[in-house]
Amino acid sequence: MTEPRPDGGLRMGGVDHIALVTWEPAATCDFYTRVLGLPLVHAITATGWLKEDFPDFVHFFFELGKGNYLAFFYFFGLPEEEPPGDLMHRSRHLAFHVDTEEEMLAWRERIKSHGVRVTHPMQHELLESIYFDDPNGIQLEITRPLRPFGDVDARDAELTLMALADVAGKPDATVQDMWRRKAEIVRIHAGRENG
Amino acid sequence: MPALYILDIPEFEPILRTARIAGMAEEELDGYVKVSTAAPEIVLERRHTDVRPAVWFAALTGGLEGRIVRFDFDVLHLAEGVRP
Repeated sequence: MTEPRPDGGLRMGGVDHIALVTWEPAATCDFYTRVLGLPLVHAITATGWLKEDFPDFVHFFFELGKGNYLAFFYFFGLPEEEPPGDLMHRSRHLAFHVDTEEEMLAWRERIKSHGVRVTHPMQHELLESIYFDDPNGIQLEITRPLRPFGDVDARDAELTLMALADVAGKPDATVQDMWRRKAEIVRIHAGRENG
Repeated sequence: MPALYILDIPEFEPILRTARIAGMAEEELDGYVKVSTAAPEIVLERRHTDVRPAVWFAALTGGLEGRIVRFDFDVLHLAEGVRP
């Protein structure tokens, strides 16, 4: 909260809620309340008034803590979607934060004890995580920091996204093209070459 | 000559140390270290770095000059030029 705010003071106050869609409301409620221990705190039931083809729905919220909620829609009469392919299943996921390895491992035991398949811990660059699916096939993650993000990480991310923006969308662009461009950008920012 | 740019964070330190032991030239670049050799190729082996796969496969995140000949669980092999 002591960081400078060059944007005139506007700053997002975290995630209020993320909204997902379920075709399995009973299993979803059971999973999030009993396995993950999240209180069910609110449910809206309404006709689809928003626009003509909006189905009647139930919109229910689980409390994640720190002012964050996880919400689901159940739509009456909506045909179930095809499950995503493996890459999208792994990519579009929701990660819950814990502070320590002990907490992560305790959650792993708890999830396993409910008969839910959960991966072994996997160490990424700066995070360590376990993965499992909710009853909707949505991939969930519990992750803990291996170290905090620092200024060097933020600055590197900025240069990476500059390099990515320069190559993404070009025909046949590869990660090698991005890494070559990144080296050029690093040199420019170190004052070794002109932009 | 090929080169890799190593981001100066603790996770990549073993890779930098391995390049140093191999006698590669270093150039400090404001948060990055460019490592290169006079030879037309660079070969680093993960077993010498002892880093976990997620870190190994991110080793080029700082950038590269040249082209990748091989980059798998065991070896990072860079060579001159852009195309083989």
